Amino acid sequence: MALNRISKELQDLQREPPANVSAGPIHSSDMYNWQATILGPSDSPYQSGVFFLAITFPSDYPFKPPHIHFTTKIYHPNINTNGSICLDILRSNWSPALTISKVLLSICSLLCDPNPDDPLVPEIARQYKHDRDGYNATARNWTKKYAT
Amino acid sequence: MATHGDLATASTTSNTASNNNNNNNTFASGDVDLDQQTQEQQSQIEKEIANNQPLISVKISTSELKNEYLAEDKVYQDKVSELMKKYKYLRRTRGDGNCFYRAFGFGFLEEKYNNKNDIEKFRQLMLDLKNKLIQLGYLDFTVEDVSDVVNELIDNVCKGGDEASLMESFSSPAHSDYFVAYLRLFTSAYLQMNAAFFENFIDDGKTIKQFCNTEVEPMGRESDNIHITALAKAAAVPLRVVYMDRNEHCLLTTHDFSATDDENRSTFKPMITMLYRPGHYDLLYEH
Repeated sequence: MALNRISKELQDLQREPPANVSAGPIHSSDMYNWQATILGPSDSPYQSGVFFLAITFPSDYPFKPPHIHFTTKIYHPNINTNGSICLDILRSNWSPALTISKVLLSICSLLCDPNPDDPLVPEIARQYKHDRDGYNATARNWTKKYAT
Repeated sequence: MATHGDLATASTTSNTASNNNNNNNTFASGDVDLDQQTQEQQSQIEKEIANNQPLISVKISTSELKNEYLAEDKVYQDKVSELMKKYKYLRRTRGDGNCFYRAFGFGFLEEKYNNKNDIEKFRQLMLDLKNKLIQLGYLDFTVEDVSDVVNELIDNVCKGGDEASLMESFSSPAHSDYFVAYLRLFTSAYLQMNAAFFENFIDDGKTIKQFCNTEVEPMGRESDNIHITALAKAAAVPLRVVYMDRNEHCLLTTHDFSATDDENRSTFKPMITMLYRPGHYDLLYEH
């Protein structure tokens, strides 16, 4: 049943691709492992970066959330060096009514508006709150170094 | 000792909250993801519950509840005795946070699977619901995905036409969970369409939409009176809940949830009756 749903999501993504986001299976023979790309939003220090993410669907998808992490290094209060993302809909607030497309769009929003009050990397959250210029500079730097 | 499962889940949820707080204040290294660890721990607890409790049990005598409490626990022993006067059987559901919806789905089909008319009415409700959800901004295929499987489950149960096929369908996690997901969407849609009324019962500053996204639609989220009120009306199912807790001032409290806005209290007849013990719902059957 998971496969059926994952195929429908793929069709939907191909039919109506969301802006700045793409996703699909790495090998057509394995629908459970996808790769996604996000273009850094223009109103953020991640602008002009291309970020890759790995997506793994659990066998009981859509009852359990997809596992998603960045494979491109990114400097962000809610994303750690392993690429793990702290986003409520990827954890306790996941529901079967959500889709990969909605999740990727939420990750785009998170890039524009970090959530420093629920950080995964407290040092970056502190810097984001108290030294925004410093945060912007490092984030831009990392984007240039790792994502272009 | 009260029932096991939902309590364990509830305490893990509060752990998550306190871990997040720790993150804010004292946690200083970027690489250890406490929230992730909590999730892993929670999934371990879920596995243990899944191994020890079936999704839905056969009917058991209400007298068996006596064994769940210490003999000297007079409050609960008296309440079980009182319960036994009116209710002969109990059907347990797994304590996974979905117990209310699972009990509701099972109780409904158990009552209706031989009634072609009412089953057709229910399918019509499902179709209406799909359209409403799409109007509310849900993606058609996510709703179809769920309703297709629910229709298949109903087909199987009606074809089998007995309790065994009902048990079989509800014991298969894929089918059973889809029914739960479906009833959650049903509840959510009703709450959103009647937002003006239900908003008064949400006290943490959330909008109805936010409440539905965080407290209704995610699997495993427990149900409160607001969910029950909405689902009883949405599915037009009169529902009775018998509350059994440690309150010493009364034996059992009964709460009726009507299927329509103008139901007569004195002639109320429940289609489904549930036993509520703090954090958990099971099905009840009269003598």
